Amino acid sequence: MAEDRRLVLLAQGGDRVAFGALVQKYTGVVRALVAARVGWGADADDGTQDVFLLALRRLSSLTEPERFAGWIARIATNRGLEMLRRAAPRRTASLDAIPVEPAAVAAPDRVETEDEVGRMLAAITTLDETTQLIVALRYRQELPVKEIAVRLGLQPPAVSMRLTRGLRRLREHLTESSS
Amino acid sequence: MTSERAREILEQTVGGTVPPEEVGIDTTEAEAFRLLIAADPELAAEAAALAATSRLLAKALAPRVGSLSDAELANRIVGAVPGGRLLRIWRPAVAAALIVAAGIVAWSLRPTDVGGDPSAVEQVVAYRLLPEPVPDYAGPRFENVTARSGIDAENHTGSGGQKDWMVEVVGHGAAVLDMDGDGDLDLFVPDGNRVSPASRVAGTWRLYRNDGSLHFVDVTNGSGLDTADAWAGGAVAADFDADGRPDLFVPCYGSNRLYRNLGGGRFEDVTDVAGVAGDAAEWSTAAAVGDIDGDGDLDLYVSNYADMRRFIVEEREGRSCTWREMAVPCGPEPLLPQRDRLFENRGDGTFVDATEARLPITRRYSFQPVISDFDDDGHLDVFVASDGHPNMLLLNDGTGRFADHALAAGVATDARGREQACMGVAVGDFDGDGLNDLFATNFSHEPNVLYRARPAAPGRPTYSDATSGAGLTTGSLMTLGWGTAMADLDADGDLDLAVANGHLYPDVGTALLGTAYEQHVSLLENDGGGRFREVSASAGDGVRKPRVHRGLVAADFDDDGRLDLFLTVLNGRSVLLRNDGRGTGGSIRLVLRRADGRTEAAGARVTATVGSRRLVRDHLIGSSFGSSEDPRLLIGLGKAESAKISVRWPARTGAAPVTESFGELAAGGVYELVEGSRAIRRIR
Repeated sequence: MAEDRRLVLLAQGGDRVAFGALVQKYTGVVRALVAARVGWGADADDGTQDVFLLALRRLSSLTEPERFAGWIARIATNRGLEMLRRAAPRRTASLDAIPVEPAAVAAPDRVETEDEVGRMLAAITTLDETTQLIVALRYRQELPVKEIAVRLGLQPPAVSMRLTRGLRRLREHLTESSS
Repeated sequence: MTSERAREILEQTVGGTVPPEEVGIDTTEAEAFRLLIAADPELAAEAAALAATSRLLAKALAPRVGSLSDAELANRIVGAVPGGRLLRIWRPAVAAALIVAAGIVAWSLRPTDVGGDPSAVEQVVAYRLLPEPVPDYAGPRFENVTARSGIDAENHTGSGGQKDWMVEVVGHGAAVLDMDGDGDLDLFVPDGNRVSPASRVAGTWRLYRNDGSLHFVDVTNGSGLDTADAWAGGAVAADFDADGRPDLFVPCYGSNRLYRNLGGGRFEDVTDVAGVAGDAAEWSTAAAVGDIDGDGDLDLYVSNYADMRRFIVEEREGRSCTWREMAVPCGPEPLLPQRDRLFENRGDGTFVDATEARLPITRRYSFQPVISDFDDDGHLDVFVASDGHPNMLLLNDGTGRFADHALAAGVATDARGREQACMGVAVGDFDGDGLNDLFATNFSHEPNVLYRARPAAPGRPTYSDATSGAGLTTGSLMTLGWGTAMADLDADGDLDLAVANGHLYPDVGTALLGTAYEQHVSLLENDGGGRFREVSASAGDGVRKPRVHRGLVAADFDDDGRLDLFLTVLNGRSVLLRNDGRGTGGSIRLVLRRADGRTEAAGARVTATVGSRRLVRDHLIGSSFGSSEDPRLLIGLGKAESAKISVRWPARTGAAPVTESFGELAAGGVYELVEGSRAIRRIR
């Protein structure tokens, strides 16, 4: 969090390198959040770029620089929703077209289907913003709970409890949508 | 454990998918939880459901095959960011506000000062390379004893302030040896040199004899090492001719050097007779030693980088490079990487160049090699840290022929498949599971990397990137690491980490990149469970002080059973940091020799059994960065008064490795163990 604050302050002062460091740090999370709405591929890439350009324009309005993570996640969520609204007819196609990694890298005991992966992405959007961000930091950036806690200003048990509750909600959502 | 507590732990560990230690659950409770869950079908079902959801989620959010990596996308976005110039206009005002807000030296800075002096701004907003002190740190502190030690070795690699070529920024390591057989540790510190013929230096290598009280006498004059003007990448000390005296091999930018130890503090340049000069076009960066062909003598692996003379001599003009918008010395691209060399010892200290016959044709920009048995078949293998290329893991087929298995083993790149700028290497069992793990130091803006060995089929070593889980990501993100040791600095029975840091570019601190040219030494204390915490700010002034470090050797220079640290400094004086022993445990030190009673048993694997713990330690020659280590293997025992020792000796050709038990050895002693003899000689 202290590092984000430092980078944001520098970026607000016009330091492109500092802003670049923020981009490097949060691209994975932002892309995951956008992709949860528009699917992976070019749309997610374009949306991610839009999010950061928008963030750069609005950076001066960020009065609590240490909260950059939540702030950029909200922009990503909104941008994803906006893209979804504009291209509503493409949504199904986009999710259906999600490329799935080779089965060889899936869990050894069970191979998740393409449909399940698509529905999981859609289900992420039903979580609250903080939980979405925690999920993206954990499963996209592969950060330890402790580091997520530091970035978001939470205690580690609070992060893991939110993760647990989020996972339960996702499971329920998947069960409902499959039935 | 109550079922309520078990349910609580289930929630906190997200069904067991988050390691318990990450959320503050101790190992005893974690074990009780595992037992309970196995006996409770309801809890087990809930954990399985959470794990399945977690797996699906990871898959849904994983980088897509064939699409841009996050890093590539980020670069594209950064490239598209407009308006930097316009925004910079009001930067001083924001900086001034920052200073006031931070309450730091605001009284002394007028707005005009801030606008006109970027360094003031940098001081205020500088990234804290050195983390905060750790209040409850109770381990050893490292005191800078260089001035009173008599060590005054100075580095002359390139000029101090202006670095035009890559060879000018790299520096070198050092070699620890007992050159006179008196039982204490002497020191050889080579030197780099300068590109311009007019400013070349000669006679700057240093050989120090330890008089036994942490005082060193400069015995370079008349040693045979005093006239050398080569450009050294470091040194390794090993008894290549098996006469009982350690010799010195010096990998160089240009022809390498081998010095035979004649005794009496004298060395003879035997490079040509020995056949280890390599090619004059090679930039040899480091070396490692081991019996790779199983014939009982010590062979030599030399890392090579690229023919940098092509730039420096042949194409001096027209090259300019930038790194993060800063003009910097150009890297090696597009020069072809050079092939490393393997020199096979004939048994008498002369060598056959076995590169063609035994090594794969792989070429890398190679830095530190380490020789150890990575696939646990008794034969010695080689890991090579590579700069901007996939690392190499060369597995020995048992006859001394090697093939690269780095990719399959998971040590070629980081967890995301990115090649890193690996430079220094340390080997050790950081998590106490009996398997040797690998740690490599990296450039700034990317963390060092820790590869955890996983149980695997024979001949198929498997590693996972454990950097983040071990707590090593954040602290090393902005430091640029070189030499490193995975060693038991507090002698409590687990392996800690030390890293020599220092940037390449003298001006990097002015570029607001969150890093600095001079950096501290990173000290990372192992909590016993394979997780590290950085204690650099609490481990003494010697560690805290920023310098442009390069080489690092952990060795017990004052013979008190604790590891001290020696570091080389680019364009500066080397430093000796004494371990003050605070909070340290006991140890034993082992001198391991092959059956001839003279040759060091490089690659021997020692198991020290202390109660129910088994400490597995390898004796290496050549690791860290351009350095070779304490010739006595130090094993920390904590509060234990003794340890049961067994040694697995490197395998002989066509034979299985032999493990020999040496019984119980008391803490505090230095013992010599000879292969096949079962005899123990207490030296001290």
